[in-house]
Amino acid sequence: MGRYSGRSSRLIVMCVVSLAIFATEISVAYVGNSLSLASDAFAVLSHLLSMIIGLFGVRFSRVRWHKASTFGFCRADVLGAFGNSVFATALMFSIFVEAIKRFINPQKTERALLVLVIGVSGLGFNVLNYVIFMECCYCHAPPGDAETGDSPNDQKSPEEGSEKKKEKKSEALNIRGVLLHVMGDALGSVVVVVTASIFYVHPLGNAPCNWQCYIDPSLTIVMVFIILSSAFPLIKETSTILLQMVPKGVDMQLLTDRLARVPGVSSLHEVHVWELASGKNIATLHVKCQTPSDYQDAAHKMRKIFHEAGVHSVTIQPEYVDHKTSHLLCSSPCISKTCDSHLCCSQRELPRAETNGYMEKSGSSPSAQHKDNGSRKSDVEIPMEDPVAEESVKNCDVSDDKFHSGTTRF
Amino acid sequence: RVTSSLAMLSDSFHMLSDVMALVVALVAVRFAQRTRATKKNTFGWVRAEVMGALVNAVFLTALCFTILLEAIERFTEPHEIQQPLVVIAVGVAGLIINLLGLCLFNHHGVGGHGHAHGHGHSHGGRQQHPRGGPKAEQPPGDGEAALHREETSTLVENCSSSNGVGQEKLGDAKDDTSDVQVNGNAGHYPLDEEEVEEDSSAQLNMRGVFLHVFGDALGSVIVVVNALLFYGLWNPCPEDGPCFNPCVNNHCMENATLSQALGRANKSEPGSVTVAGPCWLLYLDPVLCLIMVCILLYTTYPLLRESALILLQTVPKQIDVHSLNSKLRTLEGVEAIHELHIWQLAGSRIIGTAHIKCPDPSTYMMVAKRIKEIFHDEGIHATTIQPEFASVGSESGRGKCELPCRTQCALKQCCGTREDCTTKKTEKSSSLSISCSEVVIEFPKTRRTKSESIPSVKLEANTDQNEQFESSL
Repeated sequence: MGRYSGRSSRLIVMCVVSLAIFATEISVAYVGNSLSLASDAFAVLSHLLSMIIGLFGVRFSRVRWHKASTFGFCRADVLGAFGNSVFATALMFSIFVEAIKRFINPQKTERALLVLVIGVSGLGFNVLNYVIFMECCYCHAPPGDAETGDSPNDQKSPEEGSEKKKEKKSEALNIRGVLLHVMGDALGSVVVVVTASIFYVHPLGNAPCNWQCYIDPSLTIVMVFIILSSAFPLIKETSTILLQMVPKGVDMQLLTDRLARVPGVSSLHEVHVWELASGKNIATLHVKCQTPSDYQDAAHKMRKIFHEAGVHSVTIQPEYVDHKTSHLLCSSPCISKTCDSHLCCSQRELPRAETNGYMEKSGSSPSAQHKDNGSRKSDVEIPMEDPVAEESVKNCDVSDDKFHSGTTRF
Repeated sequence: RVTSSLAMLSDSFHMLSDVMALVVALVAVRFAQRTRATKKNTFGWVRAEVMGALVNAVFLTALCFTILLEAIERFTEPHEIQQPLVVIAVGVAGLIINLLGLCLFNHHGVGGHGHAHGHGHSHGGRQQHPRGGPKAEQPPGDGEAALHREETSTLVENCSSSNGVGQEKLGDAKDDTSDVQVNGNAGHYPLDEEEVEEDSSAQLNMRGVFLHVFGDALGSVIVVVNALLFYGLWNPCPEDGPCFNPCVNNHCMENATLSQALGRANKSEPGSVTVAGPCWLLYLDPVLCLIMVCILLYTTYPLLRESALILLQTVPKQIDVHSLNSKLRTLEGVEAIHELHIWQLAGSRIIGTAHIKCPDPSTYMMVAKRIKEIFHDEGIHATTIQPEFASVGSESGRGKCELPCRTQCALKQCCGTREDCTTKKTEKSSSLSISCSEVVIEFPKTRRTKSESIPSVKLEANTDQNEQFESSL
């Protein structure tokens, strides 16, 4: 178990120190009535959370298969980054609210010296953090990578040079989250130091609030906006993955066009492409072919097309065309029509040719199925019942006959 | 601004956070209605509701956290409630509004975006209110019990739409759920399946909203309870005359006046100081806040967990992958299964994929329907089955994927294949443990898959399959 190497233990030490700093800062913030110190404390807290999530993410991402999750837990990183960003946003929102309140009801920063000292130490800690993370930028094992060694990428074969770079970029999702928070912290500490030094140099005593009292909230608001502006892209990226959206580098239209042009493919449907975690794309589709040999040839070519598109885990379900089913509909959605509402994409909403990956090759298979184009809607009811309503072997015999003739062509 | 009350201001901002939660839920619902596949998302936006639920749960956690911090602050610097009567009035008003909201979300219709939040924050309405208003009696205990009942009934998620599988108990279904069944699903189920399916995935989202409103209601309850007790039991310092407040830490006064204060009557006598009322009342507020935070966290955690598990692509709880695997393997004509993946898109839409290795296409056609039936029985209706046929003359590695991607893509595949073990020397075998065939092997004890010791091919019935194949020809 090389997990508890120097790297991980360093991270754990950092976590503990962060926790201590958070506790100190928040208490001094209440004592000294300094809002910027409180916001800095919250930033440290979210930084701490992201480190913890990073640790767990590394640990979980090494599990490849578990009975609770057939994909392993490589998505934990993504989910953790998302949750952390949302949490940080919520905290920043509450800080924002406090700052507005302070505009209406300005308050002095008391005990300026104490606040100043804590602010400076917080700044020092943040700089240290930044330095450490810049140094071991890639110390977190990327999701899917086996190593948590010091330089995991150096040991890969040199032919993957360009892919290595892509991996480095794409796998640093959680690292980016951490870096983001670290930089926000540094900024926050600077703000704290500025405010506290102003109050230290010009102490207000018992005098009513003057312009000095407004510096704290205004700088805090600026800081909140800066942090939020860097948190939002992270939220956007992670939610792209979590919502099962098509990954960025994949153009669905182009892909389905190319797939439909593969010889042997009559039509495609239920094409789904999604991203499991950074860099890991998964696709499933149903393809209608005339014969099994068609299917096998086509399958290889389709995988090649997917590979070029960056999708490496593909599951292709062949469906063999027969005169009963429509050219476009799935021959085997589930065993009965009542399951329709549980399908990932309802068969009832027959889409246009572009959506849902329903692609039909024009003019490639001159068979009777082309006539079904016009009567698409009426086909909805009929074909799905036929192959499934009969539980008997009749249907299988019919298709068996077809394929026994097909196998002679092997 | 009118009353120059900071507390009212903070309360209004707290309501703003409620509005944000509701907006998030609303956006999620609107999105999720687009179930049609688009260019950007081949699954449609069904998952938006799960995300909305997660976002709401995280918001709630953040809210609890800030309340916790403020409660800790109050422990160190207790404040008196200045005008408890007004606080009671405002708290009751807020409580009524929140209860209305709870009712609204308990039987939520389509959308369910009511503005049902009131002055529910526990720090609301505490200072500088003008005196006045009638005193309203409100039994907070009953309110809380009702809240609990509603809360537990909503926590039982509707799993009745997953066919053929036993009901799974989610959350804490403490009491009977038959009549308090969520959102009227029991009545709807035989009539309209689409509505049932919608409910089960929308329910997560609505739970998030419900919990938010519930948190508000709890806050109102606490405000009312606290103010009532304070009003009843507190002996305030009168404005005139010296007054000693032993509850506020004032070291200068302590030693000097403490001896004087003891042994004197409470009410004003010439030359004596009044002692402010029982100190524990001041700590009641933070304590109640802490209790509220605990309750909120306890109720938010199941929601957080469920939405997180869905988003992590885990196998739904009611499905046992091992038994499914063994059922599939024992089918005739099936030589091996690999890349079996089951995950939940949202609600009752469970998706499965598998690669099935068969001797030849005709065998596959025979078992294809049976395979789909097995999946259907487990509640998995959207499946993609890839048949693989043993290439002619390949005797070795019956279990390996016939059509993996090229070897250098191993890291980018969702699950690695075994032949990559040799090409990728650098990877530790402890982590690259899964080959296509090893999936069928159980790992009952360890979470991490250290399967170096496990043989790669554990397909017992291989020779039998061959014989069957020949006989079927």
